[in-house]
Amino acid sequence: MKDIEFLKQLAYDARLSISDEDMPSLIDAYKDFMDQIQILEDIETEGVEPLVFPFESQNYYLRLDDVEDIMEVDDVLKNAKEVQEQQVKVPKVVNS
Amino acid sequence: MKVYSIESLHDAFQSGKVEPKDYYQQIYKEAQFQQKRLNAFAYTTFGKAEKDLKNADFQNILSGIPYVLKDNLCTQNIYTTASSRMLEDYIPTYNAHVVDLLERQGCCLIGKSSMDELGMGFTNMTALTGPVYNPWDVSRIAGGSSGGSAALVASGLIPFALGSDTGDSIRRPAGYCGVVGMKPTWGRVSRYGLIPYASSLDTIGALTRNVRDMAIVMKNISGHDHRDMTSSFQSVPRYFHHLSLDISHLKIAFFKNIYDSLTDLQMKKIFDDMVVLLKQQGAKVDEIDFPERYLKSLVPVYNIIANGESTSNHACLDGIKYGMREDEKSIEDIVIQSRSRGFTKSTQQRFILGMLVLKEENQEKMFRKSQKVRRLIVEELNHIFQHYDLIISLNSDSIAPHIQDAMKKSSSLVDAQLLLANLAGLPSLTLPCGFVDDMPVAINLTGRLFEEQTVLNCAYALENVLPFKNQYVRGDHFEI
Repeated sequence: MKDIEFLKQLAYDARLSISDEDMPSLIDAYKDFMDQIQILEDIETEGVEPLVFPFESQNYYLRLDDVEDIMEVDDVLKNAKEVQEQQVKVPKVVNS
Repeated sequence: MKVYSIESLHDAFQSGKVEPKDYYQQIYKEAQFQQKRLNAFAYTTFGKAEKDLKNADFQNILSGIPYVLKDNLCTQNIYTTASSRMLEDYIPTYNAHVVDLLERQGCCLIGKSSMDELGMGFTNMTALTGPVYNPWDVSRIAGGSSGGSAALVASGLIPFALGSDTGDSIRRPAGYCGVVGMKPTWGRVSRYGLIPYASSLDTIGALTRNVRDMAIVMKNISGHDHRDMTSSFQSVPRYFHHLSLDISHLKIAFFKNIYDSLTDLQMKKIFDDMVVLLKQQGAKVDEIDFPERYLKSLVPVYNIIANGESTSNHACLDGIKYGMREDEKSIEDIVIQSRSRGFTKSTQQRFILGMLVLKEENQEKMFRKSQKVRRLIVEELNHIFQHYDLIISLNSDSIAPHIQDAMKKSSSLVDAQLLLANLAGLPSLTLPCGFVDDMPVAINLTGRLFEEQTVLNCAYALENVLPFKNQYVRGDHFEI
C-alpha cells in the first residue's frame, strides 16, 4: 500500500496517471529497479567525481549568447493544436 | 529487383547500366512487398524520393542512392513520430543535421523506419505501428530500437539506413538481422534534430551490408555542427580511402568472464573461430578479465542514467505546444492525460523510475552514484585501451528471439557489454559472422575514442575472410 501511494505520487510528478490495472507491473518494475540500485551501493565511490558526459573533452563550449537559428512564429505554431492570435491557446487559468 | 551496395549502385547509375527512374519504380514496388512482410516502415516517402532523384547528378558516391531514416530523425515537412502516439501527427519544420548532410550529397529518402517508442527498447515491439519482423524469420523480432532500419537494409531494399544507438540500438538489430551496424564516438556525429532518448549516451550511426559502404556513410554524416553543443571539432579521416586489410599490428582483447558466461556451444564455437581468423591475419588476441563488480553494474548504471535523462528530456512532450493533446479543462489535466494516453506503459514506467532517481532526496544516492560508478567503469576501460586497440565480443548470446519470447529475454553479460561503448562514448561496430539455426550471429568490435578507422579496418579484414558480405534475404529463400 505504501509503495502504491509512493508510486502514484511519482507518476504525478512525471505528469502521468497510473491506473490500478497497471499498478502491479509498475510495482514489479520498481522492485527490480531498486535491486539494481542496491548493486551500485556495494561499489565504493568515496572521492570519485560523477562522470556526466562519456569523456572529458576540450571541445565542449558555451556559444556566445547571440540570437541565431531563429524559428519563425508561424513555424513554432504549426504543430500546436489550438492557436489564437499567434499564440498557443490553452484552457483558462485564472478564475473570473 | 536487383540488389546493390552503395558502390555498385553508384557505378551502375554512372555507367548508365541502370536507369535511375526505372530502378526507383522497382524500389517502390519492392518496398510495398517488404512492408507487408516486415512492417518496418513508419512511413514511406516516395514523393520525396522522386524530388530528391530529380536533383541527383550521380557525380559523388551518394548521389541518387536510396536510403531510410529512423523515425526519430527530424525531416522538414515529413512526419517524425519516434514511433510514439504522443508524436503521431508531428511534422518538423526543420531537418536534423545528418539529413541536411545526406540531402546535400543527393541521397533519396524513401521512408522513415519503425523503432521502439522514443528509442527505448531492444525489441522494436513498442512501436506505434506494431512489431518489426526479422527478414530471416518473420516469427522472430528484428531487434531494436533501430529495428525498421536494420530489417529494411537486410531485405536488400536499400543499401543503407540511419539509426540511433543509446545502449545497443543500432548494433543489437544489426546483429539480429545480419547486417553491419556502427555507432561512432559520442560527439562525432551531430545530434541536432535527433529526438533524444538520453543525451549523454545517444549517438547517430548507420546500418549497411558491407564495411566499405559503412566507411562511406560514416564519413558523410560526421563532423562538427555548431547547433550541437557536444559536437566534436576533431577532423574526420577519409575512412573509405584509409580502409586497410592489414591488421597485423592490432592488439585485441576479449573478456574471459563474458566468454565464460556463454552457454550456447554453437555461439561459443563461432566466437572461437573469429579469434582464430584474427590471429591468422597477424593480430594479437588476448583474453583478459574485466572486474566482475563492474560487469554486474553495467545494466543498473545504464538504466539509472538513461531513465533519469529521458525523463528530463521528454518533460517537453506535454501536449501543449505540439504532439498529441487530450481535450481537458485545465492545463495540468491536458498534460497528464495527453502523456498518459500518448506514451506506452513501458515508456511511462521508465519516466516514473526516472523521476525517482531525479528527486532531490535521491539524486546523490541514485543518479550521482550511477555517474560515479560510470567513471570507474570508463577508467577501467581506458586502462585496457592503453594496452589494446580493440575489444571484441559476440554481439549477443543468442539469435533473435521469437516474438512471443522477446519481452521475457533478460540482459545477459554478453548483451550488457554493448553498453560499454555508450557509457564511455566509444566507436563500436557489429559485423555478421555466422549462423545458428539459420539465423544470423554477429561479432562486435569496440575501439578507442575517435578511432573509428581502426574499428572499420578490423571489421573490413574480418569481412574479407567471411562469406557474409552483402548478404540479404528477400522472402522465403536466402540469397548471399
